Amino acid sequence: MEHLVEGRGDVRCPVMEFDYAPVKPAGYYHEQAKVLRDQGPTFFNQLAQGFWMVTEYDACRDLLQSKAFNSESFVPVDPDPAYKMLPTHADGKAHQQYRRIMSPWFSPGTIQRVEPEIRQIAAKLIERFAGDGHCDLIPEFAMRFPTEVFLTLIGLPVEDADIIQPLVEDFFRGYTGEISEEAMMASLGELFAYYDRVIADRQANPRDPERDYFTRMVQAEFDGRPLNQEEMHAMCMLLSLGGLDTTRAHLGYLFKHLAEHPEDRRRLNDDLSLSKSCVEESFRFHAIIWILARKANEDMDFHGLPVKKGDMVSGVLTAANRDPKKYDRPDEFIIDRPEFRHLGFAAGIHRCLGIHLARAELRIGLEEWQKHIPDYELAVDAAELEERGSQLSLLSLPLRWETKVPAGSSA
Amino acid sequence: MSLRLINDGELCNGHLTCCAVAPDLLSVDEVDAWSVAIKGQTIEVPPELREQAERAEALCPEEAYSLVETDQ
Repeated sequence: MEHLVEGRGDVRCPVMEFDYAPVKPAGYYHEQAKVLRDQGPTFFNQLAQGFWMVTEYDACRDLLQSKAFNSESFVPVDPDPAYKMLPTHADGKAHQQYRRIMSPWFSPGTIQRVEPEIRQIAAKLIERFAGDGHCDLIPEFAMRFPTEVFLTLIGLPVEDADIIQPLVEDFFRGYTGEISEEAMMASLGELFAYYDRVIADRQANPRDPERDYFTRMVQAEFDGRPLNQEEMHAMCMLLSLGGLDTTRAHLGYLFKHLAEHPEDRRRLNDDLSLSKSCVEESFRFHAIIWILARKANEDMDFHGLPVKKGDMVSGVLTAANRDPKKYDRPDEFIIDRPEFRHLGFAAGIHRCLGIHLARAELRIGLEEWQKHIPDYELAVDAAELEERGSQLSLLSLPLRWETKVPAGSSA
Repeated sequence: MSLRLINDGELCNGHLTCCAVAPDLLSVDEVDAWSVAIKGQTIEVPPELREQAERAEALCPEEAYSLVETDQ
C-alpha cells in the first residue's frame, strides 16, 4: 500500500485512485470514508491531475482555516474550474465584501424571524401526502421544502420552485455523469436567464433592500462600484447550488436513518425536543460533503505531506466527522449526543453561510414530520437505494406508513 | 474572581454560532456589528451567564474562544 509519490523525494504515503463521484448503492461513500480513516491519515489520490487527501479532524480543520491555501477551487479534480461561485471562490477582502452582501439573510436573528413560515411550508407539504400512506421523500419533500423556504427567504414567489428545482437538480446530475455536460450547461443557462429576469425587475422596481435579496444585490457595491452580471450570477449560483441540494441531501439521510431505526423514532416521538441534537448528530454522522479541497499558495509541509505550490489538498470531511480521536463511539448515531463541534459545514472563512438556516430547516422539517407521521419504514429494500457521490445525496427514498383514514378516501 | 471570554480575532470568522448558543451574552444580527462587538474582543461574563459562555467556547467551530478566570 505504501508507495513513493512520484516527484516528491522519498516521502511515502498510500497512493490510490478513487473516484468519489459516481452513483453507488446508498451508504457506499460513508463506508469508504471509514475505510480510508482506518487505513491512515494521509493519501495521494491519482485521479485526474492527482491530489492529496487528509482524513483526520484536526488536519481537515487546519486545511480549511489555513491562509497558506486559497479557494480558487474547492473540487480536488478540477483545480481551475470553468464556472464561478461567490463568495466561495474569493479570498481575503474580496470574500468579505461579497459575503457581507448576503449574510443578513442568514443570520441567527433572520432565521428566527422566518421560523413560523418555515414551519408552515413543512406542514403544508407533509399534509399533501400524509393521508396517502406513502411517498418518495426525495422529490415530494426533501427537494421541495428547502426550495420553497429559500424562495420565501430571499423574496421570490414560492411557485418558482417549479422552475428552479429541476434546473438545480440537472447541475448535480451533470456532475456525476447522469446527464451530458451539454444538458447540464443548458440547464445552468436557463437558471441564469431566470435570475436575469429577477435582476432586471429589481433594477426597474426596487423593493426593500433589507428584506428583498435581489434588491440588495442590484444596489450593492464592491470596491465602490455596482456588481457586474458575472458576479451576480456567481452569487446566485452559490445560493442555488449551496442552499438547496445540501438540505435535500441531509433530509434524505436523516429520514433514512429514522426509517431504519424505530428506537430513535420512538425517542423522538416521546420527546420532540430531541430534534435539535438529533439533527446536529445527523449533520456529523452523514457529513454529505465527502471531500473539500483547497489549492496551495506555496511549497510547505502539511501534516507530513510535501505539498508544492498549486497542489490540491483535500479533506475527507465524511471521515473527519467520524474521527475516533475526536468523538466517542464515532460510528454510532447518538440521538442525544451532548453538544459538540463537527466539520459538516466545513470551517474557516468559507464555512457554510447557511448554517443557521440549515439547522432550522432540518429541525422544523423533522418536528413537523413526526407530528404528522410518527412511524414509517422504507417501502423498498435498503439495498435498492442509490446515492450520488461527492456531494452525497440519495436519489430516492420511498417510505410507507399506516394511515388513520383509508388511502384514497377524502378526509 | 471574574470570568472572561476572549475571542481570537485571527480565528473568528463571524459564523455567529456563539450568538446562537449564548444569546444573552453575545448578540449581533449583522455581520458588520459582529466585527466590532465580538471579533478580537474580551467579554466580561456575569456569573449568571457562565453556562452560555461555556457553550460559546465549546461550540465555536473555529475554536476561537478561550475562557479565563481572573483574580480581579
